[in-house]
Amino acid sequence: MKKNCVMKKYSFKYSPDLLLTVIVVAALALMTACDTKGDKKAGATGAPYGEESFGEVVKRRGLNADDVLAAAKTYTPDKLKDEYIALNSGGQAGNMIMYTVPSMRMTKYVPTSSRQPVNGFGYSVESEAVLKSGYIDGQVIDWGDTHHPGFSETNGNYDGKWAVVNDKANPRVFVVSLKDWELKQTVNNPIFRSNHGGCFFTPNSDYIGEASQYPAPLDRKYYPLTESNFKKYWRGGLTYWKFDNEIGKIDEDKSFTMEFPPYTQDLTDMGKLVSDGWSFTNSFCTEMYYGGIESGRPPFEAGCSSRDVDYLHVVNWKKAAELIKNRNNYKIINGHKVIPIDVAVANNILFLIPEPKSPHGVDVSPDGKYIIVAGKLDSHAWVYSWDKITKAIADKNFESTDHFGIPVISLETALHGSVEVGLGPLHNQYDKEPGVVYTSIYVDSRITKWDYVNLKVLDFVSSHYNVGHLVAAHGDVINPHGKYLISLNKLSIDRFNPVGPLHPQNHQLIDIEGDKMSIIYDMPLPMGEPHYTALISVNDFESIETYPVGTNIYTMEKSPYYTELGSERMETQGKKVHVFATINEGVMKPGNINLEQGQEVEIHITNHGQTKLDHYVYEISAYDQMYRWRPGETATLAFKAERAGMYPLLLDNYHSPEGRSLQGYLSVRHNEAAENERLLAYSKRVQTDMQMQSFQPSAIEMKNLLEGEMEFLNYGCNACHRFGEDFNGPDLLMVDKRRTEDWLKSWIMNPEEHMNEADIEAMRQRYKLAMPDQNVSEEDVAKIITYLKLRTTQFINEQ
Amino acid sequence: MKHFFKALTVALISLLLTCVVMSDAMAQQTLSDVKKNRGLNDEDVLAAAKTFMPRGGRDEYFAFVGSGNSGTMIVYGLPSMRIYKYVGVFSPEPWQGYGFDDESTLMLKKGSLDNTLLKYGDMRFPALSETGGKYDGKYLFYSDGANSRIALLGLDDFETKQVLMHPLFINAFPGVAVSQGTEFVFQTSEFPTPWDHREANVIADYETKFKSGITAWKFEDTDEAAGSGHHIGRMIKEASFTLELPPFVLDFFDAGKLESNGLLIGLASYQNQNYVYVYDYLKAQNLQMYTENDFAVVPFKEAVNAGAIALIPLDQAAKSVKVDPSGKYFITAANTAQVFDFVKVKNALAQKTFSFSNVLGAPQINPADVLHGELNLGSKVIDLAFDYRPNVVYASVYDDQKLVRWNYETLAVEQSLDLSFKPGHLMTPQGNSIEPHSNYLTVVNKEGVYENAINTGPTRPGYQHLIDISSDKMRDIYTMSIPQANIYGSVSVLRTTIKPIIRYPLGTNTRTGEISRFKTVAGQEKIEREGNRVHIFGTLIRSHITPEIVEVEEGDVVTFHLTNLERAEDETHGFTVSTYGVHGSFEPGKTASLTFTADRAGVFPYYCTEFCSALHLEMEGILLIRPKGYVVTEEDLKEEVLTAEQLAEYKKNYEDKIQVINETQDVINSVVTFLKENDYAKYPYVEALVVDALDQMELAKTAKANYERYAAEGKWKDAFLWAEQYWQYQVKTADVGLRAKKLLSEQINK
Repeated sequence: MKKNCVMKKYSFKYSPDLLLTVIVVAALALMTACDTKGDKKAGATGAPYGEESFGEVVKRRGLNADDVLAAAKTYTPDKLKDEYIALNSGGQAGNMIMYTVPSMRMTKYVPTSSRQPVNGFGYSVESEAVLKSGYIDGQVIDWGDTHHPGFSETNGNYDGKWAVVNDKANPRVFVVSLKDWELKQTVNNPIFRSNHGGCFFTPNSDYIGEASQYPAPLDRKYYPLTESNFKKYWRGGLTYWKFDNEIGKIDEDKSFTMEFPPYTQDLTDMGKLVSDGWSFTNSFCTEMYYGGIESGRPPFEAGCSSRDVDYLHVVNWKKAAELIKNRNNYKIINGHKVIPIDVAVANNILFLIPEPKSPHGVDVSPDGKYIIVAGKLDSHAWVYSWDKITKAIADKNFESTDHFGIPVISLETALHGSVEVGLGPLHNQYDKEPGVVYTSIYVDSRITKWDYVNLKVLDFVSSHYNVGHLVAAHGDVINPHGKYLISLNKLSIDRFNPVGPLHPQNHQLIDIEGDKMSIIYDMPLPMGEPHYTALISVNDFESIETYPVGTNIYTMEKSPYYTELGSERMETQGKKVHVFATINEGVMKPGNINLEQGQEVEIHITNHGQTKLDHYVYEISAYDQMYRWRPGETATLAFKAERAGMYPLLLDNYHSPEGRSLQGYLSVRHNEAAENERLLAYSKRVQTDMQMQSFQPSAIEMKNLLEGEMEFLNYGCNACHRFGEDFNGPDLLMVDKRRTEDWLKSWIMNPEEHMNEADIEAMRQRYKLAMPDQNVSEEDVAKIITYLKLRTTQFINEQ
Repeated sequence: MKHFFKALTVALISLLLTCVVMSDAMAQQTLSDVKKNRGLNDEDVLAAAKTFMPRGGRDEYFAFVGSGNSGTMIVYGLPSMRIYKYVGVFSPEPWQGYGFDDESTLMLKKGSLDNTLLKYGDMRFPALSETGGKYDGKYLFYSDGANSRIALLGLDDFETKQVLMHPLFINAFPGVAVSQGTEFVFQTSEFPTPWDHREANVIADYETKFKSGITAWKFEDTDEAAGSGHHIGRMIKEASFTLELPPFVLDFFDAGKLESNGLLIGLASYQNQNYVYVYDYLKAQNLQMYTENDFAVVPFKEAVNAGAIALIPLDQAAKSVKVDPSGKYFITAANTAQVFDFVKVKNALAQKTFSFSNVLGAPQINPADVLHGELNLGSKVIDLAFDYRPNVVYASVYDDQKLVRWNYETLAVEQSLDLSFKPGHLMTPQGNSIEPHSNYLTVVNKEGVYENAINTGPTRPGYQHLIDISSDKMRDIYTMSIPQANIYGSVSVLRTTIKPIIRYPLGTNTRTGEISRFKTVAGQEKIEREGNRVHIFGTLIRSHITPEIVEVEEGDVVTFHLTNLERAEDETHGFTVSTYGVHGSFEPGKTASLTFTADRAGVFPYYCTEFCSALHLEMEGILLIRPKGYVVTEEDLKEEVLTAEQLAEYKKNYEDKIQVINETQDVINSVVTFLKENDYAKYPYVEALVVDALDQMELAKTAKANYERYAAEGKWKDAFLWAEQYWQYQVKTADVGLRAKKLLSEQINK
């Protein structure tokens, strides 16, 4: 048999399909001979398949030999352990996404800038404090556009301590601890308006690089948009955030920014080993074009791609870090240190090198000797030699200077060589085999494997479709692992079950152990749009399962609100109430909470559970209050008891299927003044929303509306008035009989003018509310009055 | 003999497979190598073969997760267990702009008590819409057990279409059920409260002021937009009604079907006694009602007098109760599961053979009168699920760590499967319809403790297992992790029953299903100002936003009304303005609006947040916010003039570009030739791509006219830039064309 097999090996070398046919035929023949399907009703959808052999399953599911092999390489039953964690940016979802490799199972969303109820992020005072520390100029920003995650490094390899990611839309950097994979710090960039080239650690995590994307004035002021102003005031830059790798904190005071010209800076990478101490940032739109399609100018996409080359920015950051010790070497913008271009040029720490048209990725090789740049509008990848660059710098061998006086090293001087890798190359990741690199090819939708030392293509594999970034195991550090590569495809079109116009992304796992790459799994990414992903071995970090009792998990310190078992209590200070509570063995103490309407309450809860199963969700019905307490955590719910009534207090043991259990009631005693305050706040919100965009009920909801009812609703009249009952304002039933039409019109349009009338004053006393001026137009007043009449008639008919 | 043949088959097939994969010996490992290296046995490989989805393959079923306090719908596929999408329902979700664009925000605020954007919901047991007791794949419903809301999702585009706040309940059970024609969607309270937003004493006032209730939300699906495939059915609050109940704690419930259509059964408890309630809502809808907070309420007394409600006392607390596919029985999930006969229940109701117990005056049916039979299943039964096999039901037994397959007609256990974990809620495909399917059963593992799971901190994902129930021998074949979900019951429907759309009619407000009044078509982009209110009517298309430069004054209230002009599948664009907190997702054809107050002066880039083409990063614009009172000077507007050398350089650039354009056209032509020669129109996916590619070339015409005009006028800079733009269109055409070519080649080689 064995010999036979070997013979077959050759005869079937390039024909797996033929072999599959053989299998299927064989399987079919045997199936007929041994039908074991007891209760199956042939052909009926949903009927049991019956006991199937391996061959029958393969046939039914249309698997070929490659599929079976791929299944075996990725299927990870409980007895096996996954090998890598993929940490993805979540893009517009404002989080980070984790899945395991090779089984490609989603495991976690780490919130960074979006509220996330299952984690509770943004729902407790403590987590909201981290969220709000990322608000810029007081603007509520409950989302983010995370782009490039990075792991902290020691000696150029992942040390399994911290992860960081940047927010392109609202230039910020988030620091996550790998101990618990929770957000610990948010740092706002004080001078950029967007970023992209982040976050990249230096090889010993001294600094984290964050490069700007779209240029803007660094002082964040307004300047009229003209070509001369653009060149004069608009700037880019690269911020070097000083990082303490022990405590995982960015020190804003010790951080600085290298000012860049108003080119649109893109990705960055940090030098390693021989090139350690340097950073590399590429750019597009060195044309300094700024669009204007609406006024007949070509769009950005044309103006930003018209030059044949853009610039790679080469910065000696170690020297820059020395320079900022001298006050003469930097200016302070918005409280932040910035090294101006002229100071950098004078100190020989900033250089430019031409790079192919509109590049996207810049990636330093594991030995630090080469820098590969791929230009999305050029079919080549360009390999720069660090040796040659250093030599050019030493010899001051520059071809010219740019508009801002920065020395430019010629492409020929710096280049090791280039290779045609395909249409639209974007990013590069390194293999464990020295000299081997993988490049994502966007337009051709493929991954090209090539040799960057000897400059030749080794292999390629098609990806579906339009790959953006790619990631190999530890593929951006000094010791890459090889083994797995993931293609982060931007489109999935026909790959998965259709789920409406918004498609998932498609991450394809590629086996790169052999000489030939083979795709072994297609994974839909169900939420968010990952840009970059980093793969870390499961052996390279160690996480905790529980916290010491009383921990504020966002500071990792003991909470001042920690409450011992038995010392649960309520403390009232005027309008403010503090509840010190505990959760222990599925019970929340205290059970009932009694308040008066209008009081502000803070419920500080300590979860005394100490096993990994002790996760609790505590909810206050109808108050939109909830948080998830991890084992040992202390966290606070804070809210104003705006509404009177009885609200069930519920505790859900997260790791039990029992459901929610009633702990007691939040009882809020009615208070007239507070009720009025609530109603006024309500109508104010309605008014604000009307300014944003008028309410527009859908067709089906409008079907039964009376004439004028729409206007009645649009102006928020129903917030206070009902028919046949007193509500927050007087009953409107038969109001048209009690008042003249002219009076009603005048009252609705100008309520202020009637405030001194005795009966109006009496009603104000009774309802504790004044009729607001809703700025109703004359036309709409007529409609509203028509509605008052029609509704009265309708109501009487109903009775 | 049979066994012998089977064993031989397996042996032969694996041998053959081994040979196949050895075919490329240098590059690939063999199956047996992989098995050995990874420690897999034959059962594992069989399980892998049953779940692995080959590239481009379609899962048999869609499943929708009861995701608890995530407030987000999660949909995945069976049997690959890959998650396809998270969709914001009760919680804002920025990826889809849900709760961030005006349309969804206003919809959510309408579904709140005080016009606020609530931050989350608790949704544990969803329901699919039905026609004649079968899933019709059109809508999905969720009840919010936290903030007492109910939501409707459209399954044509997988978006939330309606969120309503319950006008009475302060606390709702986080599950829903539908009548067999989706005439009604049912929602109940969970813990009793007064309905009037006034405090009350939990002990003294309990029986007088605390209430429970069952609401029948009227659902209308008459208004289907012709041709677009976009369903716009809605729940009608004015036609809905609530049955008022004494202070029962209400739990899981289910709607009758076929023979038991018109009845709703559910679990209730009061003072440590457990009941099943039987509610005849068809009878109740004709009873005298009163109005509370503008909502129709059936008084409990009326229902009792009409025989529309009765209780059946239970010996044991049950965790769930489900109506069987035939509608003849309902079964309680209890240690000793009880099977009740609907015919007997109906008789009891009709003949009023019940006693009026001392319990709040509720009519009480003697269980012995309506019981078909019972069966002891073990300790702590959590849930039940039905499959294709007649009279078969599955039960999860938590403490005993097993699954039991039993016959509820004969009351006998058929098989049981010992599990490695404590099983929670169950789901079979089509399980709650009149035609449940076999082969797959999902089982939730709430504890989710696995020796080999990667520890990524205290917050762990939810887990569930896929059980293969295709044969007599049940097998645990897949362990699935779901992040960001507090998993409870799910529902699942045959993939082909759902017919999703891939684009909207141009200018659709996706929350209403109507054409938005802010729809903007190419060439009609404009900026309108009324006082401090600025409306920007813009468009999005690969790879530019029109307009690209917008200038407003500090303090203006600004709205970007954007329409995605794309018709190509999967060509979504996103939009945000730097540091202004807004984000929108614009799928092909969608119109949405983003409003903010421009209260900070300065320069704010805006851009497309979805990687949409090779020139995605260039899909940007600039919002300039002028400080209040800023006076524009002549100096501000002074522009640079091109020198003769610069002009000459642009002319050369232009000529070079024309050369490149010609070369690119050759590539496009060769692709077009290939596509035509191979009858691309026969393959719908390929055809769609080709249509898109040709659309891109159509757009290029303006750019061509511009560069020719400017060249004729000697304006070389403009000529060059427009030639560049023309080439960009060529690149996009080529990009899509090559994708089509690749797909077509695959189809041909199949």
